[in-house]
Amino acid sequence: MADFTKFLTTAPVAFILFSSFVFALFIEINRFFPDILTF
Amino acid sequence: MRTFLSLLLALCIALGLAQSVQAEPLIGLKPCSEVPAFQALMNERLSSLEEKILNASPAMAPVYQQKLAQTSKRFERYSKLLCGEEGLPHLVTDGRLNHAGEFLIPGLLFLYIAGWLGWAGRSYLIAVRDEDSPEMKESLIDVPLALRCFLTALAWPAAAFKEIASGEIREPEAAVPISPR
Repeated sequence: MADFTKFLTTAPVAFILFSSFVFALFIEINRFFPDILTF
Repeated sequence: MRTFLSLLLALCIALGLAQSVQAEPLIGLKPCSEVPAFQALMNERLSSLEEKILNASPAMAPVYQQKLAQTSKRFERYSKLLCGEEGLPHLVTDGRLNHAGEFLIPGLLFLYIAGWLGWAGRSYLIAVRDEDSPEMKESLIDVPLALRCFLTALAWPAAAFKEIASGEIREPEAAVPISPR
């Protein structure tokens, strides 16, 4: 388990996890607030 | 003292510059709801969707129905913006406050988020710099430390101002390596 968490924190894996979260967040924002042009 | 005087000069110039004319007709834009081309575009889009709904199979009708709702909502929202003669909304980006939501606020938000990420990375690098193997901490991320850096970096404008004011952000001239010449 310790090895697995260590694997998860290697920079490429951590980057993929983090960016998946961010991109999913953007997709969801665009689903619930489509066509945002202004605040 | 020299920095202070130049800042003062910059401030005087900024305040002395003539305010840009606020009247909107002068930039050649009208509210979209008054521009015929915008109305035509809206009617064209909406009627083509309505036509699709009439001809659609029962399975596809709700999809077009939803699309119609979204499209009419979009045109309703954009009709409050300013349009050019061609009927497309223009965003006013010169910083006038009654159009702050179009560029000023998103722009500042962008700078804030970019600065947040940069400051978080910087503080992480500074935090691991004095440990045994800083390179290792760059390839094997210390997640609790990184999360802490992200959280504290939320206040980066204040932190940056403090570091600039105290001169902490600058390296002494002697500490900057130069290539042999």
